Amino acid sequence: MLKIRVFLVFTFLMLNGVAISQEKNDVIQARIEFISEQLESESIDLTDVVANLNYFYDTPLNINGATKEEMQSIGLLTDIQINDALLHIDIFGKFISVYELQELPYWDLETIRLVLPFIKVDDKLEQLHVDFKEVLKYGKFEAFLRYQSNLENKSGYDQVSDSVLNNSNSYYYGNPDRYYTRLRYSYRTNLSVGVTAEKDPGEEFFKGSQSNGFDFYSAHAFYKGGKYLRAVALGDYQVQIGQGLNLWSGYAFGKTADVTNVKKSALSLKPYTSVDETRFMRGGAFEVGYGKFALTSFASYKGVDGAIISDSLVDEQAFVTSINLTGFHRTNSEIARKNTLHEIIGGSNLRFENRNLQLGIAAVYQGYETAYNKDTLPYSQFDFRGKGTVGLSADYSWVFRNFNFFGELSRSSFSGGLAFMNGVLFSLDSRASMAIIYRNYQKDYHTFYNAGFSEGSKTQNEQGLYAGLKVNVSRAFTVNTYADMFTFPWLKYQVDAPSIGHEFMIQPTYKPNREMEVYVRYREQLRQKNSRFSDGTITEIEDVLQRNYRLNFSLKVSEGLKIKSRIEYVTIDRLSSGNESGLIITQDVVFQPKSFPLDLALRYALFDTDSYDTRIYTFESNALYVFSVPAYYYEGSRAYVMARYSFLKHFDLWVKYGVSIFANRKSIGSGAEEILGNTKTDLTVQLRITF
Amino acid sequence: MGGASVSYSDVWSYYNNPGASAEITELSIGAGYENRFLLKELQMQTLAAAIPLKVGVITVGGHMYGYNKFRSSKAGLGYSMKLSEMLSAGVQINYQGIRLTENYGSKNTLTGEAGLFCKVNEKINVGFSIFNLGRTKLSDFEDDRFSTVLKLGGSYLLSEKALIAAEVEKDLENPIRLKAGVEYLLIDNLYLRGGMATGPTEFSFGLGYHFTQFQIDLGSSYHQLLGWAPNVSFVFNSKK
Repeated sequence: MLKIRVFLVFTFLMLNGVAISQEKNDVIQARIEFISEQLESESIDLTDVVANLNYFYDTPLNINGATKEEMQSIGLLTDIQINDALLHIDIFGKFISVYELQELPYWDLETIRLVLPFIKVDDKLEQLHVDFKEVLKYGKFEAFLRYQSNLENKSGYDQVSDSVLNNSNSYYYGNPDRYYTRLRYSYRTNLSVGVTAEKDPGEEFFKGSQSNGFDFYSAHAFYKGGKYLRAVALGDYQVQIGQGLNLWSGYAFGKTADVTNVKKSALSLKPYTSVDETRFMRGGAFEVGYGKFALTSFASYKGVDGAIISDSLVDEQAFVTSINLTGFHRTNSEIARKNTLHEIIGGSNLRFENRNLQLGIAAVYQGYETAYNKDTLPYSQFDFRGKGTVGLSADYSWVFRNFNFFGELSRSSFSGGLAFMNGVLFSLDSRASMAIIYRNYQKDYHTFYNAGFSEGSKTQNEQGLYAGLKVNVSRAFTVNTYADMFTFPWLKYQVDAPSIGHEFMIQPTYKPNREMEVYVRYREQLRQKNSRFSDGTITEIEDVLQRNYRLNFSLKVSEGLKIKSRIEYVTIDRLSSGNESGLIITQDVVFQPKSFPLDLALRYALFDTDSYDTRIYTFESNALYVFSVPAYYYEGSRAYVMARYSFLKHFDLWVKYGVSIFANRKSIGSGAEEILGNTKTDLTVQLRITF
Repeated sequence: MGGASVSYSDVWSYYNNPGASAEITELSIGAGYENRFLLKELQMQTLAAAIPLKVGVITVGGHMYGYNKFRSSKAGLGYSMKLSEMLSAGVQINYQGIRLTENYGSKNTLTGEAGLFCKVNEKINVGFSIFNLGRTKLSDFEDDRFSTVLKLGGSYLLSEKALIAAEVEKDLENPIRLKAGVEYLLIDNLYLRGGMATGPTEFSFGLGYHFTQFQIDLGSSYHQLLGWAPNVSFVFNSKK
């Protein structure tokens, strides 16, 4: 028994040593890559994940004295594991060293290895209160300046006469560059003050429709840490409640290969620092607490892009027919729609929390100043219309030994529609975890910003059961798998009948040491969509079966040199378009010389897909806080170089230059985004200054 | 457990994998009932017994499925033997019948099945079975035959409390079926089970209570369009 302990301590020491000497960016990058590789969307936003990991790497969280919420915000521990640690402290007192973590029944070696760079075990407990002088002395200032552009000309930027420009919606007023800047002063997680500004490609800059300069401005002031006044936010902030059925601003991920991530941990109030122009609150909020109770109250009033129509018969009557969430203000119609409508949100969330039980209730009013009255189409019949709705919800999370039961029930007042979800996360063993979630979102349930666990993009019109399993079969071999069965009781966009579907994924990973990792991923999705054979009467729906196969290999060849290769193949079977397939092969080389502050990532990829439907999403390295998971489709090749240079202790410069060359195409894209020719080049330059 | 049972060794191996019965060491009798999709026409009753001999184990059993206008039945006798410490094999002969209405008649015939069972180590078991080796004909019309089914699967004992099983099943005429299941010993003798299967997609769950000599298991599977198919079974093990 002793020999085993000694062996474990030794292995631990080795892992410990290597983990700490590893570049911070490598660790965080690996985590971002892992999450991104499961997602299939071009616009993902992992800003919060990166910000948290960055923060905890610089200031490791002391397990002794950390609150449950702090441990949840690292994003790598399940509630069962957190409860395990807190219970151990309750019974046996503080942890004396990191090695003691191995004794916790639900903390396996893999978890410890993953979370080690972000935690520490210290006898001294952090002080709760914030001293103003300390804030000024130890605060951190960070500034980002970013420039992004596609070098080829898109048709929306063609030179046309003023009369054409003023009367068309296919031309952009501004230049094709994206400018972004962010300034932020923060002291640990207690204080944050910042300003963000962004101009999208096509928007004007300090002229015309943008006399204030940038198209999107965001500012925030955030304080956290009082005993009774727990947090205050002014300006732009985020609120998250329960499991996301009622209100969850900001980004949330759905099904990933890491089954333990399917349960959400709401961080009730947070500053907003992203550039999504719609999913945040603007106004003020505060959180007060007394002992185990906490009350968060918030109010938001912000402009939203909407198309408003006035009823010519009744002067006073005007209503909104559509709301645009892209945040683009480039063409006549987009500029005309800017902030024409105001959205009002206000509510409160009351919570009770002790070590293993969390209960919450919330009421959120959300509405528009002008009534929303979009067209009635069969599939959108039950969607929200009117001036506003109140979301009323209750949620809980209960950890009982190795089981974590959680759930939420929410009701939306404009229709009386309900959304319900309940799940359990349980550790079969320290090496295996399982998650089961049942959800039932009625077709007439709607709240403005929600993110309930779902297959569809909205928390509406869906019923399903999800089961996921993660097993560490041996130290080197892990299997992640999940299966999801779902039904859409009502019609959907491009699905003219109630439909069913399922999704199944299995990913065995072999990682014998820190240098090498190889995994195979198989994913099958069945959904039903309108058949492309349509004779103008009722369109039938047909099965669309998509299968993705991926083989990924990465190897650390030597200190400072890493290679990664991947092949991914996708097939789509669908009666009305036959069987289509797509293939992508990518090869990455990453240089991270220890002696020179320059990191270089290179990629060469070949892709061949039958159509846009068989597109394949693949993660690409990019500057910090820029998330790229572009879709590769049609035929061609792509190469990019990403360099990062750190200099003068306070500066980091990133430059990414990428070229996609398409075979057999005379133009890329369509409409105002069309590029003539077969090449598309992208450039990103970012400078970060930290003090 | 999603039906991932080819690598499980108990009296139901009569039904799942004749090779696995060799592991049984005491007389076992089981009776089961299943109601597919809550229709009274689709009820199934099964009975099985495993009798260990000096060398090998004899399995015998029968099942009946359907109602008076469609009835499928099977009665079988099998024998399985340990070939070595790790490997066992078994064969089974079944007398199978299908009875339809008077217009369509009935047909009784013999089918054969065989299976292998391997204890790779104390945590991992692997099983393989083929049903209807001889591709017995059901009727001459359109060369209709009873299905031939191949199953390959394994189970992994994660800890004394948790078992994970997975299986691939291929019926000659239908697409491949993947099944996986988890069994967890909640407290004392109470087991919790859950599983999923593809082609068609179904999930299943169940409970089992194991006394010393007696075992009762209940569960159900669910299909997205067809609904629930609950089942219950009792097993009696004699003490040696």
